[in-house]
Amino acid sequence: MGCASSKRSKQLHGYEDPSVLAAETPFTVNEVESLEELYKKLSNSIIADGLIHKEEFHLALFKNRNQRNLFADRVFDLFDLKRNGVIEFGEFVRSLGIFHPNAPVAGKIAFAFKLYDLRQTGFIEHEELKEMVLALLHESELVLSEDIVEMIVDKTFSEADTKGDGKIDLEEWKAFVSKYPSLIKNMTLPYLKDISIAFPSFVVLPEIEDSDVSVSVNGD
Amino acid sequence: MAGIKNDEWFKQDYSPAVPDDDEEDTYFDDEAFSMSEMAYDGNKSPESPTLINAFQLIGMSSYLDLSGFFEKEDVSERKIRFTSNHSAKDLVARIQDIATEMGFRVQMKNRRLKATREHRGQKCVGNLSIAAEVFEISPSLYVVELRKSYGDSTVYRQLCTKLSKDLGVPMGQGQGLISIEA
Repeated sequence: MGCASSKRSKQLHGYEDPSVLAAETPFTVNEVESLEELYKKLSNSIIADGLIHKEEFHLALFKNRNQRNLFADRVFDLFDLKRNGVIEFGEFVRSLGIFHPNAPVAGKIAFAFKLYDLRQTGFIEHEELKEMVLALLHESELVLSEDIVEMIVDKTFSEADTKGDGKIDLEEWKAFVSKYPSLIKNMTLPYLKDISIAFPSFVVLPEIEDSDVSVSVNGD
Repeated sequence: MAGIKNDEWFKQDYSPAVPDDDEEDTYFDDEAFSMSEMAYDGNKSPESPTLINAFQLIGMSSYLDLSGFFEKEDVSERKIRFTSNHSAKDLVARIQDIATEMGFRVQMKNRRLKATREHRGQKCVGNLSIAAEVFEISPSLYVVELRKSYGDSTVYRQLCTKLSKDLGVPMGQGQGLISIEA
């Protein structure tokens, strides 16, 4: 029953009126409409259902749908505000809005904190920080001795954990970021300042035949 | 001609689909940031590299770089990192030398180095602008990050190969060379 209609219609799920989204993000109505085009391409690149699945998210960002990574997963989860395993249009625009150069810094700081709070406990724990450093080293094929890794993590942690309770809370994170503003450099995408110019390069997404694809619909 | 060329240089910001490095700088008020970091570190000279903290290291992850939405090339074609045992001062000087040898115009900005090569009158083939930054992990271990701001991928790869070969930790010794093969 659902098959025929979902193949035919590529309507946007979680669709919100552009003027609503424009009012609540740094984007103009025109820019939201441009993002609609980007969204349509991304959300139909592997599974033609108008929703961005994890594989499609990875394909768009890393040109490789199979790459699984700690950080990539965290970013996807944060974009997936409703936590239903897919990124809807509204979620997409609101999340991207945080990366806009004009977006409030507080939002970027909060987003980064949630990103690094791997187990969503409301704190960044020592083990989480170490895990992330190891993930970065693995990704970069950088080899550092256990000692050096410990040293870096310990040093950073003790500097950030001003209350000395063994974990970094949002308040400590905010203070730490104001000391080292470059820590949220990756929370800003200059491209978003002029979307109509940024677009040409991504239009080249590969068309993927349905028959070539075997994915789990739930997007594990 | 020279006047127009100068204009082109300053108009980098407005090139299509080209996020200018400087935009990032101005957004984060780089001067203020580096001043406060230096004040905190006490007597670090302006030329000394950023002493890396874990979050800075993590922030280098390509998986936290959402520019992929807007870039055709994979991030590995645009950014590499390698470790080096050379001193920071040495690294910066050597990168400057190598880039200059290859015909780049080099600018130093805080702890970052910007190298640009532009053929006169053209803004296309063979042109390249890169940014290099050196981070300290320990007094004998540094990480160099090379980012392509815009331009020719082939030239970028040539530059990366030369730099990491000359300056990076040799293969088989816990090397950190990112593969930059196409």
